[in-house]
Amino acid sequence: MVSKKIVIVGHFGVGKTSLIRRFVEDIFSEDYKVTIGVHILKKTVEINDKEINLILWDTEGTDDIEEIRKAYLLGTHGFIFVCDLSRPITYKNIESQIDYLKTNFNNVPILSIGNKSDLLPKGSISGKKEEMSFLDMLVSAKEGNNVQRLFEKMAKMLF
Amino acid sequence: MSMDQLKRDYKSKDLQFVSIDGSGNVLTTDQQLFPLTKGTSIKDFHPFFESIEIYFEDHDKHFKLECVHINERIFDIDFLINTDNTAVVIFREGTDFYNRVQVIAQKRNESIISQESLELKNLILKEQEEFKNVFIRNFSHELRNPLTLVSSFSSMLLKTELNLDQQMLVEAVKDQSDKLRDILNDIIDLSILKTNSLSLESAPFALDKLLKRIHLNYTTAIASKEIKISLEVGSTVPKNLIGDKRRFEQIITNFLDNALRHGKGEKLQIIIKENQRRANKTSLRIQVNTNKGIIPDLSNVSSLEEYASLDKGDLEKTTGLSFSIARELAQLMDGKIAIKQNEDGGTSQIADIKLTFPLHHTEIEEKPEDKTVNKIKFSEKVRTIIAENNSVTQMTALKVLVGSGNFDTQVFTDPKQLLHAVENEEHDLILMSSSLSHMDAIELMSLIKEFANDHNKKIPIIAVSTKTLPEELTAYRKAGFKDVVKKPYTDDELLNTIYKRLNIKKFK
Repeated sequence: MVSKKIVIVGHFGVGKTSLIRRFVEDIFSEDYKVTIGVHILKKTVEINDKEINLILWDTEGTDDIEEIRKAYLLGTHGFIFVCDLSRPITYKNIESQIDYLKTNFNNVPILSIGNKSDLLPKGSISGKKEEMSFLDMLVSAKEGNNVQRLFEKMAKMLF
Repeated sequence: MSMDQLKRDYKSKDLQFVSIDGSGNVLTTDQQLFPLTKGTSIKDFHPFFESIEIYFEDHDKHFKLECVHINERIFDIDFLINTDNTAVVIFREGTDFYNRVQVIAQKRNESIISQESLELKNLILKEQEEFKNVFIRNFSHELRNPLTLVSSFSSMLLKTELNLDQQMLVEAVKDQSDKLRDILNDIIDLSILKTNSLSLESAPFALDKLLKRIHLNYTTAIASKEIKISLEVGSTVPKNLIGDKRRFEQIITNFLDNALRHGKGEKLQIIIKENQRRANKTSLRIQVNTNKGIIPDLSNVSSLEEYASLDKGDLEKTTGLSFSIARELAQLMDGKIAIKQNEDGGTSQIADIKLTFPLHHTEIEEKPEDKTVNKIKFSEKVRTIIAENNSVTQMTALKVLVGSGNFDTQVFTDPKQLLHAVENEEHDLILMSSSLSHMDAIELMSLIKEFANDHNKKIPIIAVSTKTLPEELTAYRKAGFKDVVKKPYTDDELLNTIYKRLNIKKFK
């Protein structure tokens, strides 16, 4: 079976760990626990009748993507850049961060997403989507909205 | 146990050495940290090893991966690639150390996120406050045009022959429109004060004369009511002060208006006394007492806040506006205000403020107030241009000017026609609204200066505007406007300003 390494990056507290736990174990905890180093989880998905192992690297949050230990990123097949829709500082420099990944990782697929869409006022999501057009998707690890779709989209991009 | 054996044991206590081939099969291993079986694939041990091939493919031969979480424990892992396409994987346990690091990182991140959240909330509150102030300002500007008509026409009507009933009705209309105008001005003042865009003037003024005038004005204004107003000024209070006379007066008059609006007593006291002084600085207390009633429950601070706040948007509470303004003004004068219930059942409104005073006493003359010049009759009519789009204020200005019998008026709503007129005809006066067909008055003024013939270049141009912020008034004067009539105006206010700016002798 094919395995693909996907690294989840972004500012601290944006919900990278929650996103992976929602996808892999379908659970969510309100408690915030800081990730240090890296956690690696695995989930098998089926794309076009073929099974694929997604090896998900949950990295510790950083203000700047260049602070991530280089050895973690070796052999990455896809990046998911996560920001927190309720904290502008987490997407302030998104363009330069994405450019850095594109330049240094041979144009591997990148999805940039805004987490915590559940915090947006009801009925404002479509408006926020237009405002945050630099993001590929708005998700909510808490409510599970779009989480499955996100990882399936990434898996499809890897084929 | 030998010392060498002990050293070896302690050195290797937190370490495990595993050798693997290029496919990840375990060739040799100790069992120091976790059990691994020779011949099995290390990829099955943990997903971390699933992409182990990449380390064999890279040109580097030594990789260090710190702080990797494997099965609830944390390791630093070294990959050393050998030339025979095998590798040594060294695990160093760091669970205790990294757990301590985690606690520190947790505190740090939580604190930063909490700080970010506070800053964001603060920003949102500021934006809301700004929106509210802009909304209030625009809203009150919109009301100024219709109110100008009501104020002026009711004032004009009162000067005509009316029967008793009619007179009472028109007086009521005039009275209410005056009140509405005061509220509008208060709203504007408050929105300026809330945005910290008000700066105080600093000029010498005669305090004793000012207080006497305020006392006289209020005594005259409430002559029909059975209320007595007394004025007490402490013997040490300086006769002259240096500061913003208009704003100083506003604190006192706001207290008085507040007391008259809510008070149920028959006595009103204005007390001015000196708290203390140092060099040329004095701390003054302004106190307005009523002997009965006023101000809602003041037993706690929150009700005072509520009373003095517009935040709830409840128009019933606009009675608190004047008090709010007084509070903001007192703060600008490095002071504060308070409301206290007195033993006699009345209330005291108190402002403690700081001002400077001239060390050497000199007489300061008060400028006499503009007197109504309604009865002035010219032998020659003033050829006047009214540049105004709004039909309501157009009609108001027309009626006021024509009603006085001293003006020949021409109304323009198109800037092109206005410029043509100032170029080719002779006029004596231009009244210009803040904009004409979307062209700003200041912009239009520069075109008039350019196009006007020699005669018209010298005539007074007066702005008639809803824009009444201090910086807006300054901009008008800088642009060359002789004066600004603030909307809403009364007939007397418009005529007084015009007569002040005209060379009256020429038309008599």
